[in-house]
Amino acid sequence: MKQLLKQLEIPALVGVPVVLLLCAFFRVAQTAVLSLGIVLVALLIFFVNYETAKPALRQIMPTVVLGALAAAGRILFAPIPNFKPVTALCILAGVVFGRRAGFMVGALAALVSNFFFGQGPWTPWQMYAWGMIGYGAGMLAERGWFKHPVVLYGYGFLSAIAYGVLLNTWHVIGFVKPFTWQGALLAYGASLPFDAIHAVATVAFLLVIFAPWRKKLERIKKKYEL
Amino acid sequence: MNALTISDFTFSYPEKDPLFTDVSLTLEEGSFALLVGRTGCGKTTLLRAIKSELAPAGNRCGLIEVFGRNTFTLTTYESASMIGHVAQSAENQIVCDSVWHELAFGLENLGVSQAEMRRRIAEVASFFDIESLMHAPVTSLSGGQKQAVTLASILVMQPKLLLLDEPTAQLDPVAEKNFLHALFRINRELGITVVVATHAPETMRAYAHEAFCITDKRLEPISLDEFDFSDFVFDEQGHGERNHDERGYDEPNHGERNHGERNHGERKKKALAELSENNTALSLHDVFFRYTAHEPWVLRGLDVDIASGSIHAIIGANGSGKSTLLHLIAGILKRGRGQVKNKLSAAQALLPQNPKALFVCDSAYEELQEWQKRCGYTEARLAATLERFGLSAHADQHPYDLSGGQQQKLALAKLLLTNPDLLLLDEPTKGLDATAKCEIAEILLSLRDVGTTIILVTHDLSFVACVADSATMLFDGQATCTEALPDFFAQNIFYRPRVDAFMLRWREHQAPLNKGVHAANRSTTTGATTGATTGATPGKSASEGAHAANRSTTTGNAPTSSISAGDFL
Amino acid sequence: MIALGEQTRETQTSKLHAFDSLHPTIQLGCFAAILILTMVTIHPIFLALSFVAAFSFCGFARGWKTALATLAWQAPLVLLCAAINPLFSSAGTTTLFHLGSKAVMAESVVFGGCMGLMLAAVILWFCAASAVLTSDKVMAVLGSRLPSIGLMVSMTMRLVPQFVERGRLIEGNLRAVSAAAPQNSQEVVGGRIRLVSTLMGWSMEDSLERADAMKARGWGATKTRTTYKRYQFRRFDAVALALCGVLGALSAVSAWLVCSRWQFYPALGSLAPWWAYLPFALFMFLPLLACISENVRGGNGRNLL
Repeated sequence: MKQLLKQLEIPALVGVPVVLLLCAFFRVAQTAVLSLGIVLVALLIFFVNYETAKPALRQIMPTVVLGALAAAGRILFAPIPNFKPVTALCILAGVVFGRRAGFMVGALAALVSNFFFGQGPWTPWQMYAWGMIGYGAGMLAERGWFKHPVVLYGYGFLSAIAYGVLLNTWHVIGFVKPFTWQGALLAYGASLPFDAIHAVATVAFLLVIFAPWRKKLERIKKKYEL
Repeated sequence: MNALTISDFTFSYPEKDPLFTDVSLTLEEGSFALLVGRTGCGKTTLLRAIKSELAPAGNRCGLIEVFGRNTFTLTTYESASMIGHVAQSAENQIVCDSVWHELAFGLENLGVSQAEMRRRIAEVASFFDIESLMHAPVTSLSGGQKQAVTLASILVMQPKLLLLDEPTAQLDPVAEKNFLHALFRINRELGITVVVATHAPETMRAYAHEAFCITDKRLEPISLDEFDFSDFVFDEQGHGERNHDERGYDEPNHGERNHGERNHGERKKKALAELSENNTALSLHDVFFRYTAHEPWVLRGLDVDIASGSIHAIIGANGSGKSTLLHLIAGILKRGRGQVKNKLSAAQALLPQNPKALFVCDSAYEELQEWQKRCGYTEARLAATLERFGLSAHADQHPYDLSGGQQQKLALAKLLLTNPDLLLLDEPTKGLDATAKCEIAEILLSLRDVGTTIILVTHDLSFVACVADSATMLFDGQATCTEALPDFFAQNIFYRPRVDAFMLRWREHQAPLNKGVHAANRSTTTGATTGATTGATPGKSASEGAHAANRSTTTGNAPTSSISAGDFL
Repeated sequence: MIALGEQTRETQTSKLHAFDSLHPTIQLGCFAAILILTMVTIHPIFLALSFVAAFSFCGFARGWKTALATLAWQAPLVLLCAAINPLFSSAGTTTLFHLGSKAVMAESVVFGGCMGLMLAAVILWFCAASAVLTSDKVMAVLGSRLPSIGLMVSMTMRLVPQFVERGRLIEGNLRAVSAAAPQNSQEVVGGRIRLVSTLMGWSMEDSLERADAMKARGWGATKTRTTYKRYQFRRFDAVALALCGVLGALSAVSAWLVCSRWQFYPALGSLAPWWAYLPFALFMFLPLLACISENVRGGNGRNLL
């Protein structure tokens, strides 16, 4: 069972956008609720895996602090719309502490900050989207992709855009029937300026904090292992 | 049975000299013991060595037994349920978001059953009378309540031995008393053995049974009477009474200091004179302030004038608006109503309560460089500042790896490099031991001597009595009185400085300079001007060794008028 | 001020004793069922009922101002959903008017309106639910099976307000040092980023101490952590659960029957008799009715049954 869940982790996480697109393709009537269910299942599979792996304190603490920092950053930067450090922090967590930590930081930040901003049907989507950004960053870092800073900034830029697209897609596919490309483009176009700010903010944060924070976090990592 | 037996214990950090050698200690069950010693002597290390999960890595030999069990063979479960450990900062020990969850945390770890958890939590909550807080989020608690919750969350695990590391250092005097009272009840009513490491033993003296001191890598029992300073009477108006001092002021080798100190006395008078001439650095009139429209006024009709070039203390109870006032002066808060005139606002600096709020770099040296470009000070001055603050040896260390006192000095150094004319200090002595306080006091006096105006907000009345020129007491949102020292305290009966280790050290250090330390018997008159002197501090050298060992820095650096700004920084 | 939201919510529950005294599993289950029903029944009457119920419960529990503000905040999204359908996905048979070369159909307008209504109702239900389901209740239900995750959420919840407060402190401290205070907007942004850096270093350092406090309190002492259950499932809860279950099932069946005879395209279907909507309406208004009836009786929630 545990093994099975472990095997399922990546398919489930990748499956979310696939299901969303399939729903659009086959014009499923209940897309809104169905895709929400799928994203919840994917989150659950990840969380169960995280739980069964029995995380140690040195894994839990930095994850919690970075998650809380991202959530607090979202609140502290709230006056500037969409200028938020969450995405950059998820990437950093994924790179320094591994993909699972990256996912957890994103999911925690989304869930907890929404307790302050207001929960909504978007909560699971935000948890998933930010989680995936951290997860992906962790996977790419494991493969040594981020040795070139340009790749890192590119990843930051694209992931922020992808975040916006994913959140819009649920609205478009779930609430527009029959699905048409013009409608979808209008929805994406309307949110493009916001997504662009988000992407620029993410790159700006990565530019300024990535290198020094990595050094600071490595020091903390060492202190935890003592 | 002995609660704690330490036999021939030696410990050294990797690649360092032993912190202490062949330390032995026996505590009976039900004892309340104090562990004292200056900062860095290994109090914390010794306490942590008793609890194996917290034991620092290093070379150790010898045996530590708790209730007859070798602590190193205890399982985590046994250790957690037998030995409780409380650290300095309640803020950093609280794990969960609500009080009930915090109390349950330890029990959940131990796998205690549902019914048993309920019973234990109910019991402890009733004992501490925190039932009404059970569902509160921890962020809504005061500092004292947080530390009480921390203590309660350890007691639910029913430990037989309680280790506390500076548990009251971050608390204000009232919260400190409440906490100590709770500790006293735990010890006397429940029979739990208590060991407290502290640098402020005088407040705990009445509760303790015995005390031990770490000096020169040894652990020695010392008498609790060493912390009893109640028979010291300081002559608050010591300036005019030099003839009381046995050592005499006319000795040639004290001449220069004497001169400097006389200058100090004159300055105080001058500061007041300046005030009356309306030469004020700061004036606040009719200041009203509240945080939001739904909250009551924090300040309501506050008037205060502060002379330039003086050290002005703002004191008052918790929640009387001291920090609010400081933030208003600094311009962090926008004033609600009234007039805040700050002539020095173009060259001010604020030292926050926690110096960590100022640190952003990876070493002490880089920290001092952060504002170098903006302020344009030279490398030489930076190095001189490091030297002056005794931080040269720590320049490459991470700011967070410094001790509390060193962090405070580093933050102060960072601010002073910006050449402020107005220095605002929020609780600058919180959590510091007597040595560190003396160092801070000296820095402040020499700054004042080069014309810096200093405003400090504090609970520490003995620090105020030793350092400040004038003081304001806040009450009910208003400045109840503003007076020069020592008159300020002379008329108070309840609210006056208590003699503590810092005051002793400071007065002793200053004694050859000017202020006499007059130790009198408890029975003799305590009048401020008539204090009979029955032998000054030399007689107390034993206690001196007990709570504050020799200080390396200061004696030569007594504030003298000959120190110029250039020399200083 | 945002950070204080959680705490103020705690006090607002006083009006909601009837609902608040139930086991959180039932509260969560009830809201989840309402949400799913709302999202599944794409039918103008059902959606209107759900919307009105959500708005009134939200207004009752969290104040009408909050309810309106929530709606206003999400209005652009709702309107976009409502508008995209007739403008870009037009279908149907009844042409209302022409917009350029495009015909706007009545059926599409109704469908778009339904989608907007659904989105608004879902958002309002979340807003209403948060008056009852505080974070610790949600974690009590969801976290008991996943203790590490539950604990991590609890720890994060504990840290966020602290970090926000510290962030404001650090920012204020920088402004208070004349020589270092930001002079222009570029430096203000720089100051903000410095703020996050200071906050990170400070908080990570503190977390080392917190990890020690956790170890000292027996973290990892046993293989199976227990979880303190603040809420106990009582007989009253079982009765309430049964009632909710029956009513929920009834409304689901009736909604399914009505919806299967309803269509948007090519032409709107006909409406079912009024009593067919009754179970659904009753279920949607259940939380509000429970609270109001208790307030009228002035007793505790248990008088309800």
